[in-house]
Amino acid sequence: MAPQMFSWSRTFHRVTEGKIQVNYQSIGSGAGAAQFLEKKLDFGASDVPMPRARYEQAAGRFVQFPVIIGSIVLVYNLPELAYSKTGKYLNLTSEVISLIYMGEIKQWCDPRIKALNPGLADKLPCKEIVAVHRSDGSGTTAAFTLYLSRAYQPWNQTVGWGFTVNWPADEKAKGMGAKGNEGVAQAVLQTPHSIGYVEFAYWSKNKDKYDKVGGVAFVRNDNDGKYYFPTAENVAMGAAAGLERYTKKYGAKPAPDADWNPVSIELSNPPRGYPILAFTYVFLWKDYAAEGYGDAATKVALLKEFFRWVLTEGQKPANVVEGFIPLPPEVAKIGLEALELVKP
Amino acid sequence: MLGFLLIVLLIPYLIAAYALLLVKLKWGLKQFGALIVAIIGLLTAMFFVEAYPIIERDGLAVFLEVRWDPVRESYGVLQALTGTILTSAVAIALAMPMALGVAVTINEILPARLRGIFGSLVDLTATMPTVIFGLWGLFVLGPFLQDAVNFVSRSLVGDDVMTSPYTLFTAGVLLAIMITPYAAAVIREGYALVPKPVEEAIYAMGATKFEAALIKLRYARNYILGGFFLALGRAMGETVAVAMVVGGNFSRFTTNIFESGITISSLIALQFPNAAAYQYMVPALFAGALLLTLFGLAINAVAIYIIQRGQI
Repeated sequence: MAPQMFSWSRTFHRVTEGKIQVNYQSIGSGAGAAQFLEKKLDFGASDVPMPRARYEQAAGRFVQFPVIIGSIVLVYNLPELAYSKTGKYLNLTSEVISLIYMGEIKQWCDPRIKALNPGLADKLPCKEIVAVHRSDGSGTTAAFTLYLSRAYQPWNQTVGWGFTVNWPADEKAKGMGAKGNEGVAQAVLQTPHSIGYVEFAYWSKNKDKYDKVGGVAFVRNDNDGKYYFPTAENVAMGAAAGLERYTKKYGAKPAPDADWNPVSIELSNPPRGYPILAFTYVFLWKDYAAEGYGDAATKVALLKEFFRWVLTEGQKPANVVEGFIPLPPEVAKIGLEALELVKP
Repeated sequence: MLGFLLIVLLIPYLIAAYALLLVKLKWGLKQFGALIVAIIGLLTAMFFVEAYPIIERDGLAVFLEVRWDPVRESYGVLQALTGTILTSAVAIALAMPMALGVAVTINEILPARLRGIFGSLVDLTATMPTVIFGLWGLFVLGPFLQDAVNFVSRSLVGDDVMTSPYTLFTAGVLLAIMITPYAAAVIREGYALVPKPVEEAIYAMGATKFEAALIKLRYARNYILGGFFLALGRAMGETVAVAMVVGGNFSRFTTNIFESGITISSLIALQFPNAAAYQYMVPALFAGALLLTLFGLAINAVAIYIIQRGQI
């Protein structure tokens, strides 16, 4: 989420003619939420909603709302069937991805991978799979493992989801960690027969490099059985479908001061569209003066102005960093309503 | 806690500084010495206090078990300790010969004009930000080592032993390059301090240049030992560069240096930012810090013992 926030704060600084400077630091989703609750920050941003235990500590006193949609792609390094040679990308399912990271599928020529890729079956090498994951705690890992937990029951029972999980592939197979999205992206490029998960932007910027050594996977949406390529349209389709499912299940759109964990759960593995996606959230206090912030009136006015801009102008294609997906208008509206709840 | 520590330490610091500058030099120096000991003691105590929740829950298991499963709030840091020991061992084994070589080269082989330039260049590498070393390890050293090790292993055992560029071995080699200038600087100074009459006596005995270098190194062995422990300390504590190339494998106990692993300091660096989202992760990381501190103190105790027993 950091590249998008940096870009917004830069553009906003320009459109306000240098009057308003938003200082955003990428310190990690967990730290962002924790420091926001400790009132060390004026606002927090996170790739996951406020965790339930922490939400309960401050329930009703703060609002959270999505500002952008991100997606996660699976990149692989398989020189034998690189896109540049075969013109094809691999097909994967939540089950196969889970089994690779669980260390159950150990080789690329495993019949379960072959079955998904009839056109490439004879080219899949009998080499051990190096499963690359994040070595630092991250929102990317949280969204990725939440997807696997939702889509493949055994994953939920043995591993679960969070900023950091215990990857069974580390013990049973050739699991390996790398620091940051850029570290995973680099490790996959450097390691033959590896697979890794990264935010969309880290693949799209290096698309040509990946095509030379491997590529990016089509992921099957288990709900409608179709394979989706991680395009902006497919991710947006997934987000709309996930939100629709939430509204149907709970009877209403999520409220800004509610617990958003159920929303992120419904959004993951949606009924149709590309299935690995997540909202990025912003946290604001409802009453800055009562929370003990100094000069609350000015602060609130600035915060409101910035996020109103983010939810309207900021969602226009020119202001969205490549790889992120703008919010559907009805979701942006939730954010605008949230701003109304913040006391001036 | 931190604020309290700061005040506790600031007062003796000011008293010591006052004594040093205005009252009596010797008293002030003594007080500063005592202050350093107090800081180390207080730091260790703080680590223990911060780590106490998990020690209370799991007992010593947190130091003796291998696991890192935040979802189940289950932590153990033994794999990180072995990772620290293995990477430091590789680093020291490679760095000490290099450091000795640099020291002798600068003092004996290079023409006098070049000594200063070469010496400054070596010192300069010590000032490079470690993240630069990390990036170099990520893009250049890791892939190169993988190719080189596998080339050798294919002819020896017929198979690739290093399946990824980022392993404990990569971290060890990178550390070796990073710590060599530290060890070299200390050894070089000691080597240059060998008295002229001793040097003349060595040559008068008919020693060759190589033999002379060996005898002079023996003469400077306390400096070599000092350089050794300085470099070891750097290797054990290095964080950022190691975190980038060590392979970040938290949950497997391995003694094979060609596998990916983790060290205590890189574990802390990698996991701390999101640790607050979990109940016991912060205490577990402090338990790691406590273990590293105690291990470091133990090594230094051994060092002091060796130096005192082997007084020249």
